[in-house]
Amino acid sequence: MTHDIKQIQSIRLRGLLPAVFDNAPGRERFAASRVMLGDVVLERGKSYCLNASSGTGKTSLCGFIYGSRRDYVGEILFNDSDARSLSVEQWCQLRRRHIAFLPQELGLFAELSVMDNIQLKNRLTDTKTPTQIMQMLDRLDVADLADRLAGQISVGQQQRVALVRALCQPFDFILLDEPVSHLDAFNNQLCADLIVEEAARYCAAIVFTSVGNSLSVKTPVIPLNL
Amino acid sequence: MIRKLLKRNISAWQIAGYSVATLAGVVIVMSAVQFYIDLGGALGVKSGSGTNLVSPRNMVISKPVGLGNTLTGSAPSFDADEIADIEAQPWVSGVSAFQASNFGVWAGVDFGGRSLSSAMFFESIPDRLVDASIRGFDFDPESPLIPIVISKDYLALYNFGFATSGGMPVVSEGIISSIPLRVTLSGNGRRDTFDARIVGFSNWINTICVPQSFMDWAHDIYGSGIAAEPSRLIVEVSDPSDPAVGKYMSHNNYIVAGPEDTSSRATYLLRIVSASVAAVGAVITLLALFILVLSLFLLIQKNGRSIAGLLLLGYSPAEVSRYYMMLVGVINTAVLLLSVLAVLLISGLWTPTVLALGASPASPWAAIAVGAALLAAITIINCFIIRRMVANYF
Repeated sequence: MTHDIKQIQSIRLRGLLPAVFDNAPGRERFAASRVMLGDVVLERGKSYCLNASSGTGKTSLCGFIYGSRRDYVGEILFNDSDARSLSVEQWCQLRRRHIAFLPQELGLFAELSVMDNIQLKNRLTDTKTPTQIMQMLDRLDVADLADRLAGQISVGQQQRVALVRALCQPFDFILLDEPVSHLDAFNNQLCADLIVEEAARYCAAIVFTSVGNSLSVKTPVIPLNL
Repeated sequence: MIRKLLKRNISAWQIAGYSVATLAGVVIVMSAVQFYIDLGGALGVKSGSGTNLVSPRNMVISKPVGLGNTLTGSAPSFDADEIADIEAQPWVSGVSAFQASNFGVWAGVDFGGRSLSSAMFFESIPDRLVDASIRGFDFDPESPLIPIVISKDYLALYNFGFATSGGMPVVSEGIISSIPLRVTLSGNGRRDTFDARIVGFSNWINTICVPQSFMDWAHDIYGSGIAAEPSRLIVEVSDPSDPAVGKYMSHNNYIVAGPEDTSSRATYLLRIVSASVAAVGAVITLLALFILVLSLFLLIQKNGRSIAGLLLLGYSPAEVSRYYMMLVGVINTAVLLLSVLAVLLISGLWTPTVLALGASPASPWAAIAVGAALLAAITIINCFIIRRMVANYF
């Protein structure tokens, strides 16, 4: 892979399995999975829903793709390049320009304000103006919380703030790990619409996980059972 | 914003503890260096403007004159076995002999309306040992002018003894160097007079020294052909302050001429004291380094969640490390500045002693360079550790 990361057209998951299950009891549980131990290609411009019950490796899979976890066997290919061959600098570039990620635990800094949390990402990527950020917050009904400390707002509000932060970058893929688990149907729809709109701006793929409360995107979604 | 996140859990007490410990260590090391340079310079200083004729690293040794020498009329000399034994010492890098003239020498000068003349002698030493700062110390048989280096003591003897009591004018080194001398050489049935000039003064070697080339030339023409054993040797030593040198000289009852006899011991002691003090300072600095490393470990561990969160957003380990590196850099720069200030103040304690020894205090740049190098090394080590620790969260 060259030093600069090119636009990611596809992410191929081949023979992927959390290392803890490799040659260990419990491996058979993935026999019916399309993703684990399978050969799946996620393509730019499409939407995918990773549907499975708790503890089946959804969060692990997001970590593997985003490079925050490396304890897996098998291959993850960005275009045709193995994720394991990426340097630290290339991973940073990938996280700033190519893959946006909303982790399940949100990753907000409780001691910073909502706006500071968002600007921490936005200043790194230089993607949105303060006005655009406020508009996004407003669309998700959390604009009035901009100056509040992130640790002082509810989990549902944090989830929406974290989503706005995740959208403050260009991306080819957006990974959303249970993005609406703490939201009602109305806010779910607000989030889904914003995500679809932003993904369309970059012709990006949406990959989200769900354990029941699924993101209400109106575009066709390809279900992938874990 | 990164700073706002990462400055959490910084303990002012830990930083203060490290700063004070490092300051103490670095100040001790720098003071030891400055002390050594100042006092070392003062112990090695020469009064007046004379030269050393040979480097102070070379020792001029002779034997004491005994009753036997008086009775036989022979000078105490070194035989081949003794020279070989000296050459065999591990701290000796070369041994050369003073070559004495074995022809008649008569020197005269017209000075202050009077003529002075006296029988005298010449000696020579190998040209390579002659101090390069002595100008014009060479001889050309085609236009024979004999350059001479005399002992500074001879001039003092004249000025303060002979001139005062004999009503002769007192002369400076500059004046006497400009006075032409007449030197008459005799031997082998020949007798010739040449011009001569004093080109330098030797501080601690009592001799009337001429270039080796002149001595060889004169020996061929006027010499008796009798080669006498040398009565004085120039011993080239690697370190005059080595205690083994003094021990050997003392054991063989050799007389050492020159500044080494007393100052080399003092220099040796100075070196021991300075090295011991510097070692204590270095140990304190090392312990301070451990304090900083442990503090950084603790700090980075406490802020691990924030660091991991920043890396997850796309910040590189280098960007996240930068804040802690800057922190270390600022602290160490402040410590260096305070150390320099402290050393300048502390060195004032021995400045009167240095001045009393007739020397000037040395420039503090060497001590500052040592302190800067020490703190630069600490900073580099810490930056490396910070980078490694932050990268672990990636």
